[in-house]
Amino acid sequence: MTLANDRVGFDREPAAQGNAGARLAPLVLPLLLGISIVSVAFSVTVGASDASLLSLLKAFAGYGMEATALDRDRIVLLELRLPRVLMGFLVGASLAVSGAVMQGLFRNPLADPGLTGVSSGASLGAVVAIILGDRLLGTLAPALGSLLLPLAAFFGGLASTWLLYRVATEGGRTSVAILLLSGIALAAVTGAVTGFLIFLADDRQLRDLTFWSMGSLAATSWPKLAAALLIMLPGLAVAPFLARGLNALALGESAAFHMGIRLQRLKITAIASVAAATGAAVALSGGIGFVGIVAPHLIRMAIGPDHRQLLPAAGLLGGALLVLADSAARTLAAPAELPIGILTAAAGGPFFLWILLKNRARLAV
Amino acid sequence: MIEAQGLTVSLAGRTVLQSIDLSISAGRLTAIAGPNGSGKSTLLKTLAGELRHTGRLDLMGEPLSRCQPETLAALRGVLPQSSEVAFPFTVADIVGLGLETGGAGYRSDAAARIGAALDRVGLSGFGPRNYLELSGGEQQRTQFARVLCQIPKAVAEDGTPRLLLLDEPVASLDIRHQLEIMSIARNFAEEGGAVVAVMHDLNLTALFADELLLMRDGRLVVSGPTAAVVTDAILEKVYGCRLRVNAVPPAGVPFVLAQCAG
Repeated sequence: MTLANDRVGFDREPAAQGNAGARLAPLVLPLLLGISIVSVAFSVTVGASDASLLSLLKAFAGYGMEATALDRDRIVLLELRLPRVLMGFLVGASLAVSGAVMQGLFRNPLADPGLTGVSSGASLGAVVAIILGDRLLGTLAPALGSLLLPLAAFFGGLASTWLLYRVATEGGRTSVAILLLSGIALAAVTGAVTGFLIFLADDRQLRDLTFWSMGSLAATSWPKLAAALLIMLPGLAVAPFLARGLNALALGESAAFHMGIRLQRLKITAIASVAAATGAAVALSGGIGFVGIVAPHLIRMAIGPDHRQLLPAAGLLGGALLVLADSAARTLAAPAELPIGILTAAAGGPFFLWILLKNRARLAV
Repeated sequence: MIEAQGLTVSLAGRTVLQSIDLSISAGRLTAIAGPNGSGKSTLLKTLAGELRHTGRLDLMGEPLSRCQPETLAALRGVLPQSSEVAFPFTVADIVGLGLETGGAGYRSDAAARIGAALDRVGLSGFGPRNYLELSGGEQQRTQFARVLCQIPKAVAEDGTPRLLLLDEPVASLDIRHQLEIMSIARNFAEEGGAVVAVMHDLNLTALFADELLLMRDGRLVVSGPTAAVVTDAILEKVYGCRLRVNAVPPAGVPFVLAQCAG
């Protein structure tokens, strides 16, 4: 077999090749930062109540003032919308960064926390917390408060990842194919367990569960945000340190080892980072899909696959995308609210199919 | 540079390398040849530190299995037989990966180093191209440029030699680039480094290699200076077919000609 026949036939058209992508790269991060700030500011001002950007500034300036109208706006903006919008941004950023890390780790642009079973495990953790939380933890459940759901999802994600790792790793090395297939098996098992738990649930728990699983940022509050940050931020903070290793890993495990990368450490750190970021995101917003595929892919098309830029850029883009999707979810059917998961699935599903078709040649192998 | 004694490697319960003794010296280009499946690439992978082994295997007097990946990366570069790159990196991106190894981190002269490495392998101006769109030979030369960025000098500033491990470095190259890549390897050895190359082309091997290791069925059959090893009798024993070795003028380099059976 010649080397020419072994060439990887996918992702051919991105504008990343050539000088255009390289010249763009330094501009993209500041640009995305600007877009993120604008989309957060915009999103805070849209919704069922007509509080404006001006009243937002007033609300900041007049924090603690007693004027009634201003006070109403202040509550709407600072207690309801701002935490929700920031949460949306963080969830989007976490899912996008997790997606990018997974894709680098599995050397596959279609890899995603959802595919590897991390999301399934995290969901199962959250479902257990919703349905069995009171029974298992007794008085501890209310004491944990906002931390209960993200913590349970994090442990669920970590447990599933650990299990996958044990199954897929042999002789100190991980087989990506087995890892992905184990992810499918794990998703089936967690699906069955979730189904059984739903069978046990009462009506109130069922409603909580249904709303949670459709994906929503509606019930956000500052304590929830703070609780999520405790788990999410460490996961996001280690991601930049993975960039060099993931770049080398794109050339294969052997080549990465030849270039001095400690493979096991890279993999374990990447998996823990993904479990933390995804677990917190899944706990808070339920089934928001496709951000982890869409955002990294768009960034790769714009500036190329270098993880040093890809990881922060995908995070910013994922955050901005989810904030804008949430704005749409709040306004399209106002005063009612669409579950945000419906919007991301409607946009992300076709996008996923498009990537799938583009990569068909490679996937057929 | 490399010393091995009783080197044995098993993969999935099968012994693929059996009690190999060898010694690789700095300043020499050592070729590994042998029939398909004889364990050439496995031996190269073992020398690169990729595979678990029993027996003694030392790199610069240190047991290889005790060296950390980043230490190894500073001492030796490895050119794989084929490289599948997962994302559409540019040629310059791929070559630049070699600069970051061994904890070297960012270099201000990265662009110049990448350009120089591409010039050496005959890929001037290929930096912005998409790696996935190159021909097989161009991809192979890109990988070689990456290895040259990782190990830029045959001898480090402290006087210790460096090592290149090349797995069929010229397998998909045209004849001109075969000569160019082998010349770079040759120069590396002449400057005091060690080169170990898995080779299929015995004539190219005879032209460039100082030492030749011939393998068969996971064992080292013969090793020695290339001219002494490339003989009718030895080659026929290793490859199991009729071969005739002539000497070609002017330097009397051995030239291997396949003979029709019967």
